[in-house]
Amino acid sequence: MPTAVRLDFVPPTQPDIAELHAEEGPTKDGSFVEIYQTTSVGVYPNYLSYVTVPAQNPNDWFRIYWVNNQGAIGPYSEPVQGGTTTLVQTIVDRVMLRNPALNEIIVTQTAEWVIASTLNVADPYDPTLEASYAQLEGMTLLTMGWSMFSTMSLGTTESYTAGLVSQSSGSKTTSGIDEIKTILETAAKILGISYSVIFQMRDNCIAGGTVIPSGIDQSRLLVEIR
Amino acid sequence: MSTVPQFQALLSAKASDVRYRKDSSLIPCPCRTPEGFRDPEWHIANPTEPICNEAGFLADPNATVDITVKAFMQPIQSTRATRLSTEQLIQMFGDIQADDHLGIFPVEWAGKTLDFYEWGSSAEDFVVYHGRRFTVVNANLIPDPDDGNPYHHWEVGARLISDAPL
Repeated sequence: MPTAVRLDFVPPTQPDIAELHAEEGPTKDGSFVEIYQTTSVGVYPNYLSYVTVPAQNPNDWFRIYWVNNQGAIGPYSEPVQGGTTTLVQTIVDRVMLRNPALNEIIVTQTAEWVIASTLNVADPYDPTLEASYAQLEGMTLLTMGWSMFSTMSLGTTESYTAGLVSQSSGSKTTSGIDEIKTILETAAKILGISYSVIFQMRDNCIAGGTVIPSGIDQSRLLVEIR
Repeated sequence: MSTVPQFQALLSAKASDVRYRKDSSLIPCPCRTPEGFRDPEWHIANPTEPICNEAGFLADPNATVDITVKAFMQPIQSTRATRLSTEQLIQMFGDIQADDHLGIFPVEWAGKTLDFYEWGSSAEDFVVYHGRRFTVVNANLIPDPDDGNPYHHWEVGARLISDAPL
């Protein structure tokens, strides 16, 4: 007897979506069969963000894909295991709770990168991934900071001077940049990824000896990483 | 892209309430002399006739704009306003007097067009700011720097004429 399983996902950004299909499989890389489809996907840009599907086994793996009104099939989502919440979804939920104005798709993409790079894993959707509370908070802030940065880069700044009026407005504000810097620095501290390294070439060797520099030789600076 | 909406948003958020009243009536009063002057004695002799303004025109509701707009009114003797160059101040006010104000007004507000050109010199036209009535002694229509639209905003020299609104 089928069991109802709720699947949460990020809505698509295309304006012509007509169908949603959900599939179930016993393993992540196994064979999937379709268990659900609907044409009640909502109206652009407010498409469905979750569905409840009839699953044969609630602990199976599930994936979805969208179809547009021309019949073109979109790519499959990353398979997720029923009864689990991926770390990506956890981070996305925490970020959206703190800053609901962010674009959830950008947040999801950023969370994937943050998890993969912070935990040094290839698959951020691996359901066995675990994170400490400090890592969760750090990755949340890091994701939020980078998402804000990405969103801000899409914004515009308008400034003009007309007579005695000089006006500047837009999303690229100095205060916004400072806020992002603070968030990223805080995240780096929590995650312990704040470091500064300066690489320099070896000292010059003259006649079998080593000169003692009386100052910093900037010409030998190779790269500085912060 | 026009910067007028941006400026209007700034006015809405930051500017003061200022009453703008301009009577553009062109209905001549029967009292006017052949030389074009107003004749008060005619009104004494015809007490039932409507009273014209000091320029000798009768009130015309269809030609009068009387609205409250958002505008910046800055005392010319304030710190910020004195940053203007001497040439600008002289061009705008001539000799500066106490209570002179610099006004920055929209060109359109609530569907009405503000026009500070041909400002009446006989007190029928005025602006009221903070309960005080001002006349306009000089006005510049500033164009939009982005698209050349001549109607971005007004910069006016306002001179106090009364401590009462009207």
